Amino acid sequence: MAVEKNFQNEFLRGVFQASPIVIAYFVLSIPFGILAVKMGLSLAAAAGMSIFVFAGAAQFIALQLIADNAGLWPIFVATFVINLRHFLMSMSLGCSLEKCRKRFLIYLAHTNTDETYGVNIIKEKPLHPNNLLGTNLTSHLAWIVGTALGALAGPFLPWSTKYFEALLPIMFAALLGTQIINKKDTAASFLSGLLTLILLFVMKGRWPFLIASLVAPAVMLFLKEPKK
Amino acid sequence: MKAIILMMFLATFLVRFFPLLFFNRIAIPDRLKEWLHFVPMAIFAGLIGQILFEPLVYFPNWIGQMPLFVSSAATILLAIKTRSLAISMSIGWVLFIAVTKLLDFLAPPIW
Repeated sequence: MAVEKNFQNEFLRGVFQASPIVIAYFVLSIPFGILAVKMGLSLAAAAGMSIFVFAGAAQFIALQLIADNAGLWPIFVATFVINLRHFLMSMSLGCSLEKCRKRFLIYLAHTNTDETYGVNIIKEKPLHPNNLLGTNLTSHLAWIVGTALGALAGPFLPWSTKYFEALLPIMFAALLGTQIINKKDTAASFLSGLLTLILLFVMKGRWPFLIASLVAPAVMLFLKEPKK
Repeated sequence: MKAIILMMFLATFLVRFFPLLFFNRIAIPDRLKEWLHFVPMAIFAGLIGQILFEPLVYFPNWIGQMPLFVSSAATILLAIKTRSLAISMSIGWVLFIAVTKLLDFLAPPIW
C-alpha cells in the first residue's frame, strides 16, 4: 500500500511538473499537425510520427524531406544526426536516475526529449522513475494530442507560424536559466555558447553545438584545478 | 510512410536508449560526474548559440535576429532570478512578439 501511494504521489508530481512542457508542446505540435497535412500526410501518419518518433526538430525536417521526395536513408541519417544530442542527455539522465527496470528505461528513453530532459535534470537527485514517467507521459500525450488537433483543424485555419517558432529557443533559454546556480555554471554556459559561435564559422550542421557541449564541460574541469 | 516512421523511430530510439541503460547500470567515477554536471547547461547554451548565430553566419541580418536575441537573453535572466520555467517563458515570448511588432512598426520588414 505504501509503495502504491508513493507511486501515485511521485507520478502525479511528475504530471504537474510537465505543465510548462504541455503548453510549449501544444503550441509546437499543432503547427506540426497543420504542416504535416499540408505536405500530404494523413492524420494517422502525422499522429504515428508523433507517437513513435517524438522528436520535434527531426519531425519538422522530415516533413521537408518527405516533401522533397528525399527517400528513406536521407531521412534516417537526418533524424539520427539531429538527435545525436540525446546521446549526451540520456547519458546524463542515466547517471542521475535511480537504478530501475528495463521496461521503464525503454519508455523513459523514448520520451527523453530536450524539454523533458531539461525539466527532469533540474529535479532533486536521485531521480525517481515514476516521477519521470509522470512528466514524460504527460508531455508525450500533449505532443500527440496537439499533432492530431493540428492535423484535424489545419485545413480550416489561416495560419502563421512566425510567433510560434520562437517558442522553441525561448523554452531552451528558460531551461538553461533554471540550471544556472553559481558562477561556474554561468562560465560553463557562456563558454559553450562562445565555442558554438566560433565553430559555426568552420563547420556545418549540428556539429558546432554538439562539440561545444562536450568540450566546454571538460574545460571547466581544467579551470577548477588551480583554485584548489 | 510506415517505413519512414519505423526508420525515424530506430534512429531516435537507439541514440536515446543505450546510453540511458548503460549509465543507469554502472557506477561512474567522480571526475566524470563533475563533467556531467556541466553537460546539460552546455547543451542548452550551445543549442541557443547555434539557433541565434547560425543565420547570421550566412547572412548578417542583425536586426532580423533582434527579437530573438532580446527575448532569449531576457528569458535566461528571468529564469535565473525566478527559477520558474512558466514565468520566464511567458514573459520571454510576449517580449519576442512585442519586439517583432515594434521593429515592423519602426521600419518596413525588409528583413
